[in-house]
Amino acid sequence: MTLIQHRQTIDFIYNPDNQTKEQLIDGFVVRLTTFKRLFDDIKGTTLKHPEQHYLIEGKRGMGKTTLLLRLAYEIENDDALNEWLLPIVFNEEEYSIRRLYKLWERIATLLEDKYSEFKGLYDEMDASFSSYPSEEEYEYEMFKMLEKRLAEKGKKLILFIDNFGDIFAKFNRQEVQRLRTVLQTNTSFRIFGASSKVLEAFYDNKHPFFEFFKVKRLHGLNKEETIDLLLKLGEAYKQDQIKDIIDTQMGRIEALRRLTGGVIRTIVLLFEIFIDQKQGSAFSDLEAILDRVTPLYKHRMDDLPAQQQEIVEAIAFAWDAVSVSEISQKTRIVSKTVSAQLRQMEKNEIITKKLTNNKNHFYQISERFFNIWYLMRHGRKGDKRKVIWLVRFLEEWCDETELVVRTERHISQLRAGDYDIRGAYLMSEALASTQSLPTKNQDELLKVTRNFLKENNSEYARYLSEPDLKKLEEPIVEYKTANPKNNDSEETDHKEFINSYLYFLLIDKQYKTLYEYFNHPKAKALHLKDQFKPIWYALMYEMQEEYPNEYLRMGEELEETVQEIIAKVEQMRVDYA
Amino acid sequence: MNNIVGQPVSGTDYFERDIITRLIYRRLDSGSNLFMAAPRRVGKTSIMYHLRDNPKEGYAFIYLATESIDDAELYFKRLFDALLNSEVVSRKVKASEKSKGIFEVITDKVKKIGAFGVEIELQSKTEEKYSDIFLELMKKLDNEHVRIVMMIDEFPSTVENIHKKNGETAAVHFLKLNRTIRQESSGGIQFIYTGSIGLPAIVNRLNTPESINDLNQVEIPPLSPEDGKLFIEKLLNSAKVPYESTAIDYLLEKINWLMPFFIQLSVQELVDLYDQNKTKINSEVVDRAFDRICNRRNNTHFDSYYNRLRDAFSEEDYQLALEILNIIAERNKLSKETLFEQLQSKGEQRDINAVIESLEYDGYINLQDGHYTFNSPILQLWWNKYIRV
Repeated sequence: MTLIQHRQTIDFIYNPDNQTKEQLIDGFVVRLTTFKRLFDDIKGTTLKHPEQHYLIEGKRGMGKTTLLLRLAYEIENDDALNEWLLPIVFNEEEYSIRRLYKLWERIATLLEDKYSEFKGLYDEMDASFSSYPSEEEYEYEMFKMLEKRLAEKGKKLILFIDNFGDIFAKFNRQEVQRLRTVLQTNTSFRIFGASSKVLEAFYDNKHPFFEFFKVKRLHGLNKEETIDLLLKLGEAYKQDQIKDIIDTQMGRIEALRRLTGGVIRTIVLLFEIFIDQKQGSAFSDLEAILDRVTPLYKHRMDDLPAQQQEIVEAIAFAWDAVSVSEISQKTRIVSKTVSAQLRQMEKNEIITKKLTNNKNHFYQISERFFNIWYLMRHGRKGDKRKVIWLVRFLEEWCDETELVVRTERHISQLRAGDYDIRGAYLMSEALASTQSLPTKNQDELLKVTRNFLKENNSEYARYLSEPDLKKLEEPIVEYKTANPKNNDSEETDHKEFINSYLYFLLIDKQYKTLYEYFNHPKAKALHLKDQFKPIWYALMYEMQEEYPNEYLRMGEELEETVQEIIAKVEQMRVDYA
Repeated sequence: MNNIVGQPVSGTDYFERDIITRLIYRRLDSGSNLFMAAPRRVGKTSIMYHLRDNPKEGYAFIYLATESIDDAELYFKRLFDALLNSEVVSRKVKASEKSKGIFEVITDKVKKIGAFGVEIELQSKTEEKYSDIFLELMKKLDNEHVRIVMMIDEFPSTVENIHKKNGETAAVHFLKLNRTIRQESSGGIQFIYTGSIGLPAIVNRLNTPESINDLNQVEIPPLSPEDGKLFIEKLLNSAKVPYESTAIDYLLEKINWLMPFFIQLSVQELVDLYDQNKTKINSEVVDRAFDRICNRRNNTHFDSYYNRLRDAFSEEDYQLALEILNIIAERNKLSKETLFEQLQSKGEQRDINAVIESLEYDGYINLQDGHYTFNSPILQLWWNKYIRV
């Protein structure tokens, strides 16, 4: 993913095509190993025999288009290769290629557009169309013409085709069979395709392309790649603190990586929100991005049957993975039907199954950015769940001190009256929902935000949450009544107090009591599990024998925090033994 | 050696499979025409490429895939295209005056049909057809100096296509025409047909088993453990990926059915994992690679193998199909007799043969060397993990 300075970035993230060759090469800082492997393959072959065809597979925002372009540019820049190998880059959408012969024609036009020595090739093809008795004969002969012309000029091609699945999906079966025959016998070209979907055809034993391409899957970025990307972002945005964070707080980088699934596009987006250079303008950028993806995502939703739409909503609002029975409870659709619908949606890659050791698996929205879009676009006004993704990010990215500092900075910006209104609301709501923000800071944040929103006559004032202070009093009073001896914490923060209490039970291995505490109706009403999620999962880790699957529901982004808690508890047991 | 995954391999990327090459030559030497039966991704085409590119003295091979062809005359037209444009013919012509004369006549005739530019379907019945000329060629051409072997890939698909497009009579006629051509041959051209769909299953469905009973069936054996090991090491070394020797044995054990594709697929995953984590390949990494291969195909694709059974069979046969797959998945490999005994001992009364044939036809299992195995060890792993439990 290429980055340059200033706010053009957003546009660039979405359209690698808009970058110049130099910009793209300069910003290409991740996927280097994959790039090298693929380029070595290209460089090490002569197309004397039919060569390996590739498909780059990865979710949206993983950098597929950029990788294809980067490879094409490298071939152009390599003197030994550009002598005989010509990269041909197709547009992201190629609507006109609906028949196999159109593919040959399209190659001809792209070829002559870029290389003058092939001028007239398409016209020659087109003019001969009527002399063939059938489209099939035309197709057969046009491919031969293409091969002949390439051989005459001593050139071979490498075709970079984005959304490759959409192209061959339009061909009839025999055309796909013929394309396969061409691919496995010809020495004039090879294909590097890309797809954001897993192409079912590739795993269907009856399809001509069954296990035929070498599929290179772009996984989420790993630790090192995330660091490289953040350093490049830091450089582009002149954010020196990134280096410090990388040097001293790797856990935060890891949390960011897990939260975003290592999707480059989402990392860049959260980074923008994190640096928040222009008083909430990152939120307008987010809005711009959401607008841009809306037609696509809306289409995706509209295509689903009503029941599946309902199920997607239930899963999206949960953010973390949920079970069939939970979905069933939320949607009031019987479990059997939910399961059937989930299977279908899993097949269409809308949701992902997290396997457990029994048949009660958990389900999550596959594309995390789609989930964010859903929450932001479909969450009711005033529904705190709308910003749950940002809450998770802040919780992972910031420790308590930093949360306090950010909150204070946010408060002073609001007091100065200089902030994007919707951004003010969303950021305050997210900060206020974080687990480790002390309640007194939360209290002040919400007060100042409310005033800010009222002064600006914003309807968001009505939707802003109430501080936790009031809500938390009840269980504390209850606890104090039950444990009259433990009353020395009068002065401590209430939330902090509950936190210590939960820790105490965990250290003392009072798992059952702690479990009951979390599941007490009053605790449920107060969403205690949500508020103290890492401790809940630490408990579930300890109670794996009784609840083998509960721990697995945890979002990946929490993994490190929970592990830290477990280690801390372990240490305290030793210290206080 | 590049790790080519999925598509046929040629040149230095080919891992020599000496046993099968020698077997094919033995059969060809005796004048047989062959049918090489094997499921997809077993390496049929790579073997044919190898024969084509490295022919034994006195042989010349032509490769042709006819998967999409749905018309008998178009089939023979394509055969001529491949034959007459090939260097093989010039070799033969150079070697013998007699052959030269034959090819001159034949080429002339073929050109004549082509020059009319008429659609194959519209050819008048009195005119000479591509198939007639091909038969003439077969009758005249002998095997002096050079034997030409035409390797027809995905031949059963052509039969199916013709069946679908023009009906059963046309398909049977096509099969018989091919048989006549083989039988009338003077030995100058021999055929190797291959296909992922079993030709016997198709001719049985068309009630014409005699149309292929002259073909000599060749099965493709998996690699030996020694060869498998050598192959894996070559691939990992070329990719500059370090490994522990025990990991290779472990991988071989996991793949079980040592067809090159599954080795190539596993190595690809190992290379990816190495690129991501820079960890030397050990048993644990092998497990992770397998999990990833399995998971990628898991939810969306393997489920469909399972669900498809319901559509393919009646409720009763469905249960039997499940039972059969469960037994094979558990046992890895078992003889036809043992499978039948096991099912019959449970009082199985249904038509076991028919169900097994359907499972073979639909790509679940195959019979090699008298033993049934899953076509894909990866599907088998998944089956054991999620279905058989």
